[in-house]
Amino acid sequence: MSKVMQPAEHGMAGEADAVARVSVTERLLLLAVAVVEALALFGLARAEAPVLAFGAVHAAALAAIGLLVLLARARGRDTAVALLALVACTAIGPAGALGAALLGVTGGQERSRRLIERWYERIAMSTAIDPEMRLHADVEVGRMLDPSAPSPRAFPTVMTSGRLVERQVILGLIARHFDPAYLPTLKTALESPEPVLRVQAAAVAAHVGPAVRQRLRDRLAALPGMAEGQGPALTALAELELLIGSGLLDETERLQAREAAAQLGDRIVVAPAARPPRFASGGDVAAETVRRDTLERLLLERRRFADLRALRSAERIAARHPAARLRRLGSRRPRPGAAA
Amino acid sequence: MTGALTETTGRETDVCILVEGCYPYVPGGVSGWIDWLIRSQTGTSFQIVALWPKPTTQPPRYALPPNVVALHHLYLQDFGAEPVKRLRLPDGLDELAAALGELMGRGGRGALARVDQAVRRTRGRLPLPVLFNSPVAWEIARQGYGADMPYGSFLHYFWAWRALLGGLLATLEFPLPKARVYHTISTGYAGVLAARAALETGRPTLLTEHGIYTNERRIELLMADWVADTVDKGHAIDDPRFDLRDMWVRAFEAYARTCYECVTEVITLYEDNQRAQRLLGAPLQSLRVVANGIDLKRFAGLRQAGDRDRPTVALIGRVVPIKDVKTFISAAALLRTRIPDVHALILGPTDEDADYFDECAALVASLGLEGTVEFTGTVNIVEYMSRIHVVALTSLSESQPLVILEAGAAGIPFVATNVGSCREILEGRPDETPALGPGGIVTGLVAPGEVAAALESLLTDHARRRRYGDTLRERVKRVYTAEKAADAYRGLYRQYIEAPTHGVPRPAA
Repeated sequence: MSKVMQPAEHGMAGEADAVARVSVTERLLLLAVAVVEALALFGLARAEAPVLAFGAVHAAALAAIGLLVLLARARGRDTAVALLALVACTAIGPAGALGAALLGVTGGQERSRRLIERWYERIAMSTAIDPEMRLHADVEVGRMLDPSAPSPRAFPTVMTSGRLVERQVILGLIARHFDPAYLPTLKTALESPEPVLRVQAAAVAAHVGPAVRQRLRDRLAALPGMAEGQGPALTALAELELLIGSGLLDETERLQAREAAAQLGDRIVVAPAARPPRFASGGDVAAETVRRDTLERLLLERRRFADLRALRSAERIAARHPAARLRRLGSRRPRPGAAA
Repeated sequence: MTGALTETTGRETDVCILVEGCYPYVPGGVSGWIDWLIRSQTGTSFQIVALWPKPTTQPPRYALPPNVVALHHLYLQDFGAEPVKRLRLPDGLDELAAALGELMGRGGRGALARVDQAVRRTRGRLPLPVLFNSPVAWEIARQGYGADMPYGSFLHYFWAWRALLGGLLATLEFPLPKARVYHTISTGYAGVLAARAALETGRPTLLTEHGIYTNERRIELLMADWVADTVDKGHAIDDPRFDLRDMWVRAFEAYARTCYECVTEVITLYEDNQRAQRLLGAPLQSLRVVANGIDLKRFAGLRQAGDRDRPTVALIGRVVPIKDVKTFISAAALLRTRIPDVHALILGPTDEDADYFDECAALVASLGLEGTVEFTGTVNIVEYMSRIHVVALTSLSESQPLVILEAGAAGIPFVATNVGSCREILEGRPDETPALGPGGIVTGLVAPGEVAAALESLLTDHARRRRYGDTLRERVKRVYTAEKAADAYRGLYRQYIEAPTHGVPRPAA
């Protein structure tokens, strides 16, 4: 499970920064060395002192800066600014020390250091995760569909043997994500001996009722322009049967649906099929199963037992020997238009 | 027992009714029942706390009975003082946050006691209305979010949490009226207030549930589109990730648990409800059934429809979707194919859901049932009783429908869907002694075929119809009279009004 970034992580990062940063004291000392050396040199110049005196003052300033370098190193601090001051002061006197101190104050070197560190972490393939990145990942992954979670269980199974809470959750899902395929599960809930479930199922039935009727209207409207072939007709027939069996249609609608289903049945059984049904051949197996069941039921209702036997035989062959499936199915498929 | 008081404030009454979202502003089954209960207890003084979302200008739909001395309002969504940005935080806020989290998350008597303690500790320096609109509340919400659903949308969490906490704090802050007995009509926030009353005053507290409030809320919440799903669980039901819907359901279950553990008696209308109450934590020893009753005198001496009269069935109720009138119409269509001259009456107002009524009328027309089905609108049903052979109820949800009792009082058998206490009324409770037998037929929901078959069997078998009608009348006389229900509550009130106070009560307002 994901977690939010902990404040302690911020704290640790802050401490690390403090260790690496140039302290204010060091900067002030550098500044002081620069000022003192400048004033001393100015005084010596006014007093027209010998060159040796100038050399002594400059050496003292360098020694002071060198001491700062040693102190910074002893405390585990960043020595870059102090070293820079030492080099600059050696070359150009107090102006160098002053420049180095000012560089420390503006933090330009600090920014450079951080950029360098990030770049280093990147090329070193560091495993440290940016806290913002981690939070983003937690939120994103936490809200996404969990690929490691168990597959959703079949609604009809849970509705008959699941715990009450699970069954109630399923009814909630049916209400919020309605699909005609859920109607048998809803019907089971309506007939449940558990009163709590029945009441909820009734509420869901009232909730999805308009959607069921709309689905029927859409399906009936789409029938005239439906594509040729048994597949689409079987899909439409399967859905009509679900809608009819739901008990959520008015009597008039039910009669309309029945009439449309009968016409579709005629079309599937009587009209020449463009190609035989190809069941369980991959793809949407659930939809294929529904179509196959629908066709079997249709053949049974119309007492076309020979065709039903042929269909089942073809399925058995296909299941045993997929390579022979198409060849055998072609020759033994239900004969469109043939008498039972 | 004291006599009826005339003062409106400050005085202790016998009973304080706590009711959420209905009486006296919304008409309906529960409101009507409360009105009946108060009027039936002459000599008992009442005051009422009406829990309502916000102050309203809506006029009451019920005139308060003379034995009601005060009506108080507790507004759940109108809580909180002016926002305060800079506060000197008192000690014990962590304890208060933890206790509130526990009360909203798990509930129970212990959780409420801890909240009560923490609130008392902080109230002096940080009153709850100030706390609710302060950075303290923000911090509590932030902590709750981190613990509950750190991956979810904080914005959604915050507003859901705030709605829940606002109602809870309003309930905790409300000054309890003084009464000898507190009686809540649901769990939810009214249940929390009743639990508070039990805890703080030590007085007996009753709960009467008609439907199971928590289940009703759960059903609403599971279907609600206004609750955002911030976690994509697909269709998995085993995904343990907590989401907003879970938070709402969990809170109402926690409030119910708190109420059940604190009240003295958990009363309901029929046994089936007790299973749900027990699942939600109601102790077995506190459960009791007190059925609703009707006034038998209204239906005494009515003539029965004769065997040679036109076969007539009736649905008595409002023409609204929850009554599933369309199933009755479809059943009438099937019935007409077997009994061509059947007459199907629909007795009840048609103006409550005009669209639904239009759909029903269109269905009647499309099935060519104009000569069979008749919408009467609002009528005096007593005048129709002597013409009706069988009454039907196709409702999707009911608790204890009075219409079955009224038909039974008139000796008319009944066909009803298997909802609420319909089976219990028609077939008798398992412990009915001596067993009377069936007074009607129970069918499945949304099953016009079953309803038609049941109606047909009673219309065509006259002896059976008369036998069922007599049985139902006998059962109603024996169990479901208004006098019996009123006596049961009179006995309970008398017992508990005179009962000693338990524990050390804190002074009520």
